Amino acid sequence: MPAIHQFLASLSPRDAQSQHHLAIRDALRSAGYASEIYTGEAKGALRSVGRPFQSFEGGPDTWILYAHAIGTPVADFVLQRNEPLILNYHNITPASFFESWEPVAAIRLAAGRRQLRPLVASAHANLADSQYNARELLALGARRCSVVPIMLDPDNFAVQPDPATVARLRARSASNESVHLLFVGRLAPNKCQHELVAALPALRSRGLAAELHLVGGSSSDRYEQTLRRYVQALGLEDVVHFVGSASPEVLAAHYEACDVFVCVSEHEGFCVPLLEAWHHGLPIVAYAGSAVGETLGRGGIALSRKSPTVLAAAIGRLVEDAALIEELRRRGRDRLADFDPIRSRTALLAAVDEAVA
Amino acid sequence: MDGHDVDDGIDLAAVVREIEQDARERRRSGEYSIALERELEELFTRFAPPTVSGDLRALIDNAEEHGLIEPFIPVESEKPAGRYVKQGFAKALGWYHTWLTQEISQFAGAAVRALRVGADRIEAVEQRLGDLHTHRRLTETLIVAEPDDVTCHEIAQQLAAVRSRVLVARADSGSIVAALRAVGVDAYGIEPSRARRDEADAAGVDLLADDLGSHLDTVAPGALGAVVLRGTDMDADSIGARIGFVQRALTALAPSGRLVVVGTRPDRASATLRELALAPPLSLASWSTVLAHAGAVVEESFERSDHVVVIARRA
Repeated sequence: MPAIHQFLASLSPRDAQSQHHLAIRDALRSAGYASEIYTGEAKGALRSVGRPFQSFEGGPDTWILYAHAIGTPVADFVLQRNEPLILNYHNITPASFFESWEPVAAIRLAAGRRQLRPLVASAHANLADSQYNARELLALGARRCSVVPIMLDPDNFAVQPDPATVARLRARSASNESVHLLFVGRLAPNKCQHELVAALPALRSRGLAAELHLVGGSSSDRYEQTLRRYVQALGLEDVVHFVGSASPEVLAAHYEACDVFVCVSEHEGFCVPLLEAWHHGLPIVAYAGSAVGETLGRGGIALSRKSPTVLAAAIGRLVEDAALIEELRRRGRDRLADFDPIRSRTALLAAVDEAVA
Repeated sequence: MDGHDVDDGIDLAAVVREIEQDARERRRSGEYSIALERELEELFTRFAPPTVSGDLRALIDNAEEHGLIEPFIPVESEKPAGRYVKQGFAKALGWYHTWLTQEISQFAGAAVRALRVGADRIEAVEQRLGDLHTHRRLTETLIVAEPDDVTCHEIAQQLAAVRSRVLVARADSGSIVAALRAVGVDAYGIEPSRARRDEADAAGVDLLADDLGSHLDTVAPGALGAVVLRGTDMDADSIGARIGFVQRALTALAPSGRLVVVGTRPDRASATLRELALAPPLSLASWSTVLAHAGAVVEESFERSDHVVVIARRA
C-alpha cells in the first residue's frame, strides 16, 4: 500500500477542519495506508501529532494529500515536491472581505487564491468538502472533484453542556421573555455579524424582545471594535453578548439554551455550526449564500435576502409557529444524518483508492 | 443530497415566501420606517475604519499611519523569567531592530509620498476632464423613464424562448423582470438604487442590489441566455462606457444568447437628460453603429412610444 500523508497550514485542537484532518488520517490508516500529518503550525495537544512540513523526506510510492484554505508556504513546498498530489479544497475567503479591515490578512487570502491555480494544475485528483467548493476547482480547470463533507468526531456532540451557563441563560430568558438568538463563528467581515445586530431593532419594532449571542474569537480587531461601537450606538449592550472563544462545554450550553440559530454569513465553504445546531435541536434561519444553502438543504429556513426586516420576519414567524419549530427540528435530525462521517469516509476512500490505483 | 422543498411536512419554500411577504407588508404599512435599513447601514459605516468607504485620501492616510514603525521591542511576558530573557534579546539586538524599523519606515514614507503625488495628479486629471467623476455621479441620479407595459410585453415575447438565465440591468421598479417572468423566463434584475428596489419589492419583484459594472465582473463567460441593458448606463453614460458595458455583456452571453438594449428615444428625452448626460440618448441608427463597434450584430430594432429597442447577438 502506498503512503498518503496530509499537508496543511495549521492544526488546532478546537478547530473543525483539524478534526476533519485527524478523521481523514484515521480513515486512511484503517484502510491500510501509512498516513501522517505535516503542518506549518501545530497547536496545543496536537503538537505531538503535526510534524513540521520541512521535515518531510518523501520517498517512493508516497502521495501528498494537501488541504488548501489560506495562503501558506506549505502550498509552495507541496508544489515543489515530486510526489503525486491530491488536492483537498476547503475554500478561501475572498480577500475583498478583509481588504478594508485587515490588509495583512487580505494579502494572505489573496496569496492563497493565487496558489490555488497551480495546485489544481498539479493535482492528480481533487477533493472538496462541498459542491460549492468543488465548482470552484472545476472552474479552474480540474476535470473531476469528489465531494467529501467534513467528518466531525461524534464525540464532539457528546460534550456535556456547562450547567452554570445553561442555568444563567435560561434564567435570563425566563426573566425577560426574550427570544435568544445564537451565531457561532469568528467575528469577521464575511460573516456579517453586524447584520444580525441590525435585525434586533427590526424585531423590537415587531414587539419582540431578543438577545443575540455571538460565540467565537475574532479574525479582525477593527471589525470587532466597529461591531461593539455599533451595538453601543444602538443601545443594545445589554442584549448583544460577545461570548468570545468558548470551551466545548460553554459552546454546547449555548446551543442547548438558545432558541434559534441565525446565520447571515456571505462566505462559507461548508458551515460546521449548522451541524452542531441540528444536533442540539435548534431551528435554523440562514441566508443561503455561498455553501450555506447547500449544507442547510431542507434543514432550516433558507433566505435568499438577508435584510434586517426579512430576518426579523423569519425569526418572528418561528417564535409564533410551534409546529414549524418541531418540523425544523425533525428535518434537522434528518439532514444531520446526511453528514454521517461513515458516508464521508466511504467517499474519501473511494476517491483516494481511485487516484492511487 | 438535496433537491426538493416539500417533503411530507411543511412546504418551506411557501414559508419563505410568506416571510418575505410579511416583511414587505410591514414596510408598506409603515411599521418599519422606510429608511430603517439604510439608517442601520449608515450607522455601521460611520463606526467602520475610513478605509471601508474606499476614499483614496483616507486610504493613503491609513497607509501613512501604519508606515511609521516605532523601534520599540515588547518585553512583557506571562512567564516569570520571560521578561528578563526578552530584555536580554532586546539589548543585544536593539541596534539591528532600530535600523530595520527605520529602513521600513523610510520605504513606507517614500511609498506614501508617491501615492500622494499620484492622488494629486489623479485629482488634477479629473478636474481637467470637466470633473468627469462628479459628472458621472450626477448622471447616475438622472431619471430615465421605464418602458410601458406594451413595450415590456414585446421584449418578453422576444425572449420567451430563452431557457438560460436572463439579466435585466438596470431593473428599475422591476417591470421588465416581471414581464419576463410572466412568460416563464428565468429573469433576474439588478438595481443599485435602494428606493427603486423597495418599489420593486412592494410590487412583488425581488431585485439584487448591484450596479452593472461590478455585477458583470461576477458573471461567468457564457452563463446568460440574454441580457437586457437600459437606464442611465445606456442613456446618460459616455459612449466609451456604453461600448464597454455592451462588450462585457456579450462575453456573459451563451453562444446563442441575445442582447437587448432599451434606450430612450432622443426626441422624447427630457431636457435634463439631454443636457446633463455625458453623451445623449441614441437613435436606432446610432445604436446600430455603437453595437457594431462593440462586436454585435443587430437582428431587429423598433421604436415604441418613448423608447428604442435593439435586439442583437454576438458577431
